[in-house]
Amino acid sequence: MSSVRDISDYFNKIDNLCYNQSWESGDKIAKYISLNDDHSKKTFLHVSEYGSKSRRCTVSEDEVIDEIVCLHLHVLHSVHVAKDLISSQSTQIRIIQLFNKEILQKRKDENWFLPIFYRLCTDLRWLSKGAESCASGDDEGDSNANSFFESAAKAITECYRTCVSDVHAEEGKTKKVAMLNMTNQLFQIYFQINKLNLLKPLIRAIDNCGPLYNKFLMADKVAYNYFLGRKALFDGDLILAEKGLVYAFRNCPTESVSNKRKILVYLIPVKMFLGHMPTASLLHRYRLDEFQEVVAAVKDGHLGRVDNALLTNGEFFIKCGIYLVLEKLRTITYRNLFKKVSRMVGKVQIPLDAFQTALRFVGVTDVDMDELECIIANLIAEKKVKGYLAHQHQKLVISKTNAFPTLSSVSSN
Amino acid sequence: MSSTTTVTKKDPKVVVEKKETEEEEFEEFPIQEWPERADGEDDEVNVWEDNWDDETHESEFSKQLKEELRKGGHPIA
Repeated sequence: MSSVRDISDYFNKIDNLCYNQSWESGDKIAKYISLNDDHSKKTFLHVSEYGSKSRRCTVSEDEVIDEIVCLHLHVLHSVHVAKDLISSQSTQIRIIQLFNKEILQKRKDENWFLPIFYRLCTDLRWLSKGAESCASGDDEGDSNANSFFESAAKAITECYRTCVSDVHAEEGKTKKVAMLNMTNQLFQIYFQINKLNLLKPLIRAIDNCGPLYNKFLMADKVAYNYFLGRKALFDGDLILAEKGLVYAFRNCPTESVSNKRKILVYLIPVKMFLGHMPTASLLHRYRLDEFQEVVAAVKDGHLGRVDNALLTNGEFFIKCGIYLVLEKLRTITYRNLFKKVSRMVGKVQIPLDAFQTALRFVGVTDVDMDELECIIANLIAEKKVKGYLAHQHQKLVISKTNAFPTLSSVSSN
Repeated sequence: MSSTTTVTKKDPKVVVEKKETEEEEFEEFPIQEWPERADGEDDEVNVWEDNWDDETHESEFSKQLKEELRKGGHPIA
């Protein structure tokens, strides 16, 4: 797209695009109301209250788009000149409410403008985040904590309702195709404010959307599966987590290295719980070397090294939000260590003292016999060990065959 | 002197914070539509290791562990 020369050129360009009413022109208009596009840095577009000027340029083809564009210039002014993210966030909400009332609710059998709407929502999230950090820096009290994300979620949810109820539209013109993009918008907001439970009905709606699913954009499908997988991991549903994250990883374009890396951050722990270890070259290729030592230590069954590796790279893992998830890898580390010990002892009856010796060797000194029995009992309950504890004899009696089943066969939760 | 230190300290921090917020979120894709891959059509294969559990070769760690068990009075098979 050619660069914008002045304000009348800017309005002209949008006006011309409005004639087409196609998804492609919607895509182009979306760029002109984006906060990230080149035009947003042009000072001649940083105008407050442009809509109330007596002599001004207009988008004559479409009055509502005209009003939205004027408000967009007001937002640009708030962001770049007044440097007031809080008021720009509330103006952006006004734009979205206007879009809902005058376009989504009124224009039947049309959906070419959805790309514009997606962009407005994405920018609203960005502004909400900015407003949030401004407000939290200003005052100590957190009574209004997350209020910007909450108001953004409310505005987007209202639009979501409009779109899902658009059931009578002509084939290919329904606003219901916006469902997935909006679910993704809300997913990202609810991740920020820790309210993932609010997504349940939205996820169910996607599960039940039938053939409409094929109409969603790949970009939205990949993002959705990534969010869904992350949520499932935190809910402890490894099978669903693997399904979502594997889909996202496979279908994320090779060029989007940073997104592939983000998917891997969650896919790696999931795969490890299921007994599939990432190769060193994969970790290195995606700049995830923080995992190398964790993986090596888990495979060996070396608990001390696992703890150290988590501690050493703690900051990274906490930032990714997976520290607590990775701590659970201790369970399979115990399993791996005990499997080794059992092999070495080579009998079906293994004295618990042998496990104690091994634990001390890997730096675990605070586990007494009772706790050791408890750890083993849990492994048996999770079917990671086939056998039973002979408490009187202080022995673990393991099955003659397949006493330590592969993790992939047992780690469903 | 002290004010100079504050400035130099502050600036890199701002940059780092900005970079982190950028990094955190799933980035938008430059294109919206591309062909979906079916199961098994991954372009990255052999990135997950399944045979690490087999113990076909004995690691250095296993050797040491064996020695430790022996010292602890546990006969090794």
